[in-house]
Amino acid sequence: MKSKSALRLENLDILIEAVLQKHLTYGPLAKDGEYAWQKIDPKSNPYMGCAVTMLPAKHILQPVWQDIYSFKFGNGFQIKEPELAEKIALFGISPCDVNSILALDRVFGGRLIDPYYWKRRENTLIVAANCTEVAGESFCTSWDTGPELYSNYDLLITELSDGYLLEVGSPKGEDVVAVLNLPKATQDHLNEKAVRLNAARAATKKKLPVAPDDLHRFLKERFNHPAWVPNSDACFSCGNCTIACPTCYCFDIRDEVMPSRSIGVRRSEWDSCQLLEFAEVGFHANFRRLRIDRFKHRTIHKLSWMKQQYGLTGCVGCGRCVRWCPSWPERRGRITSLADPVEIVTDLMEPSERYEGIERPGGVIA
Amino acid sequence: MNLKKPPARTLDLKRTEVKLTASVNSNDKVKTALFKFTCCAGCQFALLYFFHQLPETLELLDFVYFKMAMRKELEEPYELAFVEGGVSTPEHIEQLKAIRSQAKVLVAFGACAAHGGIPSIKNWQTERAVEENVYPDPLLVSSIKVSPIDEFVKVDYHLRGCPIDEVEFMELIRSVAADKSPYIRGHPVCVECKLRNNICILLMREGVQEGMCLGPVTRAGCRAVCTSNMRACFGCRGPMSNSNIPEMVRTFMGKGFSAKDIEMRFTEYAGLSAEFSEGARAYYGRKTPYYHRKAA
Amino acid sequence: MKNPYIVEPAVITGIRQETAETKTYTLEFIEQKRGLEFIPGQFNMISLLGIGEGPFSITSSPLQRNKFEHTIRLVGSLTKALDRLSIGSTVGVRGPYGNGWPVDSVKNKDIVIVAGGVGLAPLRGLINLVAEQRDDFGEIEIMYGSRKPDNLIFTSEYGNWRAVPNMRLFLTVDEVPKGIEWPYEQGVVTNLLGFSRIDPSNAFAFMCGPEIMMRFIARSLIIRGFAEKNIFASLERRMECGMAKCGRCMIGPKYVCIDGPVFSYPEVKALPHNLLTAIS
Ligand SMILES: Cc1cc2nc3c(=O)[nH]c(=O)nc-3n(C[C@H](O)[C@H](O)[C@H](O)COP(=O)(O)OP(=O)(O)OC[C@H]3O[C@@H](n4cnc5c(N)ncnc54)[C@H](O)[C@@H]3O)c2cc1C
Ligand code: SF4
Ligand code: SF4
Ligand code: SF4
Ligand code: SF4
Ligand code: SF4
Ligand code: FES
Repeated sequence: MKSKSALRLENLDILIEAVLQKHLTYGPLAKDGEYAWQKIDPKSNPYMGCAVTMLPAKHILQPVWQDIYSFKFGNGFQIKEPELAEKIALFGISPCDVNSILALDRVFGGRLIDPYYWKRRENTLIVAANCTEVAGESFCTSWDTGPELYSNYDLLITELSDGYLLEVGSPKGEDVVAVLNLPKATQDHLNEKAVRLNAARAATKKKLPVAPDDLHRFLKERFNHPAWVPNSDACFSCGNCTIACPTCYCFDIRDEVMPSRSIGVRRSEWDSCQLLEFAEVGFHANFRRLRIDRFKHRTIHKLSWMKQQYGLTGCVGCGRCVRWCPSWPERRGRITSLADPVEIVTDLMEPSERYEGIERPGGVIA
Repeated sequence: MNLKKPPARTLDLKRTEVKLTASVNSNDKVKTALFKFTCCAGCQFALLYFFHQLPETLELLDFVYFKMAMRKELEEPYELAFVEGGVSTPEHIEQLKAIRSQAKVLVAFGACAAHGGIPSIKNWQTERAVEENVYPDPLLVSSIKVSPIDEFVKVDYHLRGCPIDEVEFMELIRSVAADKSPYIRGHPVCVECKLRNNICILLMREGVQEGMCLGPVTRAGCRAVCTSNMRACFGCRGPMSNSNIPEMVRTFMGKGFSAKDIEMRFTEYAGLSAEFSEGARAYYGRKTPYYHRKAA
Repeated sequence: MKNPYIVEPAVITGIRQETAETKTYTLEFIEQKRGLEFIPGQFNMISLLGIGEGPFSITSSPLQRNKFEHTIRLVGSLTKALDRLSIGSTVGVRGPYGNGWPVDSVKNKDIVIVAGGVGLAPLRGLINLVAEQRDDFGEIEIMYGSRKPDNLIFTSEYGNWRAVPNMRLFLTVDEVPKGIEWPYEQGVVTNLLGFSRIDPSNAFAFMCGPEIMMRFIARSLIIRGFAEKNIFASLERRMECGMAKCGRCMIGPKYVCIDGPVFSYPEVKALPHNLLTAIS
């Protein structure tokens, strides 16, 4: 995007107000000592740092529960589609999450477009915020999905020592800030941005030990590596790592019906490949009955298969799975999050022999 | 169904504004009976409290027997039977078998029917100890162990939880009325907890009882009411379809909970289930509860 | 933007009982007088609103456009509800989905079709296509097995198939109950391959059935000299959307709903968590 203009912003409030004018605005707000994506109003204080929020902003574009349509039946049936016209803004979305939305765009796009996602997506204003500090769980630098966002935003905020740098990335963003008459940013401001983001990059210690381009081969070779066994034995199959993941998209479709009134809705709900029922077919046959198969499916889908399918990384290094996995086993002498892709890959780098003689503890496998 | 004019000594249901839709004649409704065994009757009570749902419930179901809400004695035949409470006397077993032979669909109604529930805590002690604890003169009573109803009869569906969940109940009766299998979740509470955008109290409330969350091994379906209100899940819905009990025990141990804490958490509601009894035994030294489950 | 989740009403204009638990339904779209254009082996998502939706192979010949058929076996909620329907009932249909059999690349080639149980359903359209365009294909051999004689589907069409020149049908069942006359083979379907007169070196093999069964068939085919790349299997996975959105049907990086359900043997071999090529 050539026509990027950079502006100076004294405080966020005026921008929030400008965005709120025309958009239903969401931002990462404090909740129970953490952050969660919630609706914001002029008084709220969205966090502009690296917020490893509970659910990612994905739930605004692809709601957890979504009515696909309602219907009425009797003699034949009539279908009524829901209306989705609201303009949405994601205020303070971090670079990794914007990258995750790009991946979701490809999932819900393609030959057969998911109209619900796309209607919301087209009506969405992305007000991104670069991360001048990277949370301990995150490893976005490994994928270059953060802490700096290079494109695909409408507005981009970078926190400076005094005030903010506001970059405009699209006509949509231009429309929002036009009324504010903000002063142009100087080269000094742009320099400060570069310094700050480079510092954030340098301070990110967590790193995937295998180069992204090499992961496909790496995981393929290690598909039967013994390290999968102790890893999956510690897994609850609770699905948190996928539900919290900004690039996970799987869902279930179910009908809810009120038989006496002959009406009902067809509804989708997020689902997770870590759950036993996910791949179950008739007569309770299941092609991923074993926990280890589901654990592998999730890990490899995120780290390699999604790239194969969509050409974009399926993990953006946001660190949510790391943060929200309830299982923290000891690995290599440290207590670590089981779902952590970096730890899993590190385990897989160990020579197979290291795992010889490790007995499989008696996990309950259905 | 005669809930419209509640008999004098039952609950006042006026505020629920029960209106039966004229278009639905009661022949289309599922004749339903609700029975109670050993429990606190809290699930029937909860049912009366689902008042937003009562009109629809009454459109779908025709209660022929429901002690808490109706004076009517059981005389008509029924197709759907809800059984609340665990089995704790030989008469219960006979009654239960009779219910099974009559009902097309038999539903275990609540934690006690599904897993023994709170009354089953006593199964972990000898009868003698229980009697001495409770009664001034143990010679006056002779109590027996509590067991879930599916130990004696085939159960079609389980409405788990203490008490049962409104949404799951509606899903069940709508499905029965539409003759399809209801969606009963097999996955853990964590899923519903996370879908509600909750933070994780198991991770955030380290070391305190309120953070001792059984969510990762407990079956969902309650819409994670406890964890959404910042209270640990204490497993009232029993084990999920594929629970990893050893890991749960390891997790609790790692957070510094004592063997006693762990045993208590696992035995509170569903200690009789194979999975949770494994968790309870793990660090308590005892191999099995005194009353060992065996098939009927 | 057309909403691909919307189902179109189709009315049941014919029902044929195949076995005790399998029926073939003839469907016609109500609103649009358009037909259904498809390749044999593709599937539709069939809905009964309020009950659910499921993938079902289109079993009629692709040359017949104004109506189409599905052969459905009773399994759970949806299929039970479908079983209760009668002529004149409406169902919801969206599709066709999936890739279908590689019909174009088998023109003038010999084909061995191997199926087990209701697995013959996705192959019937192909068989009837060959019968109708006989000159476009080489020799066809159909090897079909099921548990018992009364589990065989499409029995009323065997006569027609046998009457087609250079089309041969071989049948086998695992067990023959007492008192039932069974003039054909008994044993597993792989045994039937012994009757094949087709030269495997340049022939194709299409199979559908339980994955474990297909594993044994594929091995026998390879041993008999079929090239791995000429062996195709139709796989079955849990499906909700049919268009690579819900993720349910994934096998490794492949979506059965758009990359499949028909896969070549080498393709399947590269996939994890399949029983077809698993080594044991
Ligand atoms: C590509 C494809 C083609 C198929 N073609 C046929 C056919 O021609 N004839 C036929 O009888 N059956 C076919 N099946 C299987 C058929 O889809 C299932 O038997 C059916 O969906 C079961 O639904 P149910 O509600 O009766 O069963 P339930 O067990 O009650 O199903 C519950 C849920 O699981 C899903 N489900 C269950 N089993 C399967 C399954 N095997 N595959 C996909 N989803 C499943 C259903 O869609 C539903 O959402 C095919 C499956 C696939 C994947
Ligand atoms: S796999 Fe984990 S780190 Fe990667 S994008 Fe998903 S939640 Fe974030
Ligand atoms: S990791 Fe699992 S839940 Fe997430 S997108 Fe992949 S298959 Fe779906
Ligand atoms: S890896 Fe962790 S978050 Fe993911 S399913 Fe297993 S226990 Fe749950
Ligand atoms: S609070 Fe409990 S139920 Fe919720 S995610 Fe954490 S462990 Fe699971
Ligand atoms: S969160 Fe746990 S204890 Fe609370 S209702 Fe649900 S299953 Fe029962
Ligand atoms: S059926 Fe939904 S992704 Fe294939």
